[in-house]
Amino acid sequence: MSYASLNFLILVIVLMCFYYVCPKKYRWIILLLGNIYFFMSLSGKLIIYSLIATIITYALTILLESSKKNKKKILILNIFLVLAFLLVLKYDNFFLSLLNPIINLVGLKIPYKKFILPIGISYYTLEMIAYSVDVYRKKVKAETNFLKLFTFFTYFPKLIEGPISKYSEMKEKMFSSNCFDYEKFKNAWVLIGYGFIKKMIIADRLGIFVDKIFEQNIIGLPLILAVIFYTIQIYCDFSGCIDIVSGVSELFGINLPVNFKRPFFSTSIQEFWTRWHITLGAWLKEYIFYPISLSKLNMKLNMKVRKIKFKHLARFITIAFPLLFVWLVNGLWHGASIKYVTYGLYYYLLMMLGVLFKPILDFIVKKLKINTEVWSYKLFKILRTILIVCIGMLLFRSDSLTQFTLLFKGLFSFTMPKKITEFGLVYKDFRLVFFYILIIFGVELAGELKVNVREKLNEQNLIFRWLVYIFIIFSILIFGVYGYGFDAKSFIYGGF
Amino acid sequence: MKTGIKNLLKFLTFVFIVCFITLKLGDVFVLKRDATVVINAFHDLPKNSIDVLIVGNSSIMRAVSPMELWKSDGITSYNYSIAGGRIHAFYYWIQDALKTQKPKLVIMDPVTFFYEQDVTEEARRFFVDYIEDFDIKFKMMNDPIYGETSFDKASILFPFIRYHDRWKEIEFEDLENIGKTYDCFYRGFLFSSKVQPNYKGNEYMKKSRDNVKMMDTYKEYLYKTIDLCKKNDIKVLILGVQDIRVWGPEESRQLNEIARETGVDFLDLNSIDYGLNWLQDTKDGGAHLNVLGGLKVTSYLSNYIRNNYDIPSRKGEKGYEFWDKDYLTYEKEKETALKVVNSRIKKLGLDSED
Repeated sequence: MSYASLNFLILVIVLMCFYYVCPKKYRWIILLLGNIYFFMSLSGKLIIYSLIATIITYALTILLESSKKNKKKILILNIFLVLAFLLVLKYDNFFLSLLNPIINLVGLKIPYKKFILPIGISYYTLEMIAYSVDVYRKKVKAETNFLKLFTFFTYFPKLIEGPISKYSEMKEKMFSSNCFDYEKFKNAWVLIGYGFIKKMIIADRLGIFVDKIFEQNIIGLPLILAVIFYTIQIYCDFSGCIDIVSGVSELFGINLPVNFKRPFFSTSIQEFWTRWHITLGAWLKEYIFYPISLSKLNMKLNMKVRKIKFKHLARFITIAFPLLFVWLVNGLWHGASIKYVTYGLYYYLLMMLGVLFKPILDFIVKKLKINTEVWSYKLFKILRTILIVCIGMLLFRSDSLTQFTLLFKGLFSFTMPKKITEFGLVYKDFRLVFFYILIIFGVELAGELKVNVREKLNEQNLIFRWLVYIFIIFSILIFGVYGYGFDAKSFIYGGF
Repeated sequence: MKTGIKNLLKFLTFVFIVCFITLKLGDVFVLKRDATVVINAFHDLPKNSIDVLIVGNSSIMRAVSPMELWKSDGITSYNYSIAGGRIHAFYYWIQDALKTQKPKLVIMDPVTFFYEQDVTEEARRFFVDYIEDFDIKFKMMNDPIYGETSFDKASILFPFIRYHDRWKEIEFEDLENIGKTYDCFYRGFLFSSKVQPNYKGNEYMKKSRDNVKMMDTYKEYLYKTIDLCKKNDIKVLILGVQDIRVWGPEESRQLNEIARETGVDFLDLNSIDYGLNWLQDTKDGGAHLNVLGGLKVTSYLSNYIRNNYDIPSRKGEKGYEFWDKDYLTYEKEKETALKVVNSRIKKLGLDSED
């Protein structure tokens, strides 16, 4: 059951009816039942993994809270046990591929085994770690109701693609009595519709073109287009999914954390990662960057580098060390392969180079008397960021580093195809996608100008509002990529 | 409370508008085929004006001409057939027909009864798209043959979602199909003026194919269809029309047994000499009949109905005047088709071997 399916919408409507009919005190139980049904319809018996991980987290956080001496040990044990599921189920073959060549030298070999991953394991594992750390840091009290904790970790709208949420931020909305609000109900459906437009009209349509180019290793202009299209595809796919699930969650009166903030308006890579997959970035910052920055090892390193004459270099080294882990984890989280590790390191390297050469760049800007406040300079920085992201996406989409190398060279080839319509899309598709991208751009631009489109829409007359709703609904129904003749595409980030 | 009711009413009105547009878009997006005119025109016929209903597929739609039955006996009949039609579709088509008509006799085409595989989803859609009645649509939705997935179920109610990707082909003129009234002067009979002889004649009826067995599902629907007719006091005639690809003595024998068991009539034209000329009367080497073959079948059937059933002549009755008018149009088309087919026979040198 995909989020972009009729079955999912039916489930949501049925659950919503039960939710608001149920006495307020017990409404979260409807969510729990919905979670179990949704999880089991996708992963069946594999729900046992999340159940065991929740039991571990539940028991150890209560123990941690009451313990006086062994808090840190209990926390480490909790993290280790919860992480063990993820490491074994998702990363076993990756680690074995690194280990086997070494132990082969003494004639040993551990056989590879492919496990079926329970749905959402990459997301709920991070949430469990965040929860136990927060209990350790006394940011949240350990939950004494096991079922409530299980409801949070397996909350069906955020199960497959996040956003990665914090228990402390969600528990009030999730377990307090939410009343039905017609305005919120309407707004939620507008957001869901907007998400469906992104996913079904833009992402899935561009995916047809992109798949053909990457499957056939086409180079030249079609490849350049495919890389741009893939960047748009993955954004519309992921942010579209987040819009859908956020809207669904709003139907139950629960707001999910913001995961995208118009990333293609970023003027630097650093800014991009504060606008793209925000909850992952925040998680990495809070649970990887800070602990490493504040670790004894890093403190010692800081003390040593302070002696370096060049202050800028000293500062560079102090952030380079913890950031290395952040980007390694970021890459690895996306997938168990060298390709994803390289993907993480690609951004790490660019950011570090940016930090390292900042004084030189500032000097050049100053000497050349470049006005950095004008819109054209900002546009240049936006385009530069988009270019860097596109190259990152080429790596992300490639099947392997070998394919990436091949295709990267292919970007500079001037091979012209006979027809651009040879790759699954006709001119009408291109025109359609362009039209809807313009709409998305308009909405995003409004957001950038601090205009809340949904609120503005609510202020309009009924007829105009209904025309907009009808436009959204029939855009999806007519132009959406679904039904016979199309392979139902799952959300890209669901695979992580 | 007042605001709540107002909001609910607004919401329901909006849902109604969306459903209405979705339904109407079906008229624009559903593929246009022969059946579009044939079945839609059937729904536009005056109520209770059809006495003989013919259901089947590409064989019978080329074999039985309702207008010839009108001319010879004043019988009002309609060929409610769609290419590839299967017995499970007949079951629903008859129910669809019964919503507006009260036929006294149903003639069924058994050519596909012994097929070893069911039709593809794409072909199966043909059987659903023209059903208008919601009650029948709901029944089809709940039938696993038609409503396999939730998408199938939804697309039975709203065919537009099945064909939405045709937006690239839609022209402004397609909008004219919304609420259009159809007229089918030929009453579902398909004129074919092609000629391709079958030199082996009826050899196919001399040797049985191996492992001839009606699929359990098909058998179940055959019994259900017969039951449906009986409950509505309708006589059933299973009319086996020539098709050398799929018919044989074993099919004929098994169907005869079922007919005897259920008390319905079975007329197997494959085993009867009624003057069919295998060199001139088929359009594709024996799989389907052309207009000449169709007229011969209809002529034989006309006598058969006259001798075995009590079907009234509606000639001269009030409200049936349009049949005479339509016959004139039909006759012109028939003449043209006959001219073409005869010239082709001459060209192919098949007239001398008659």
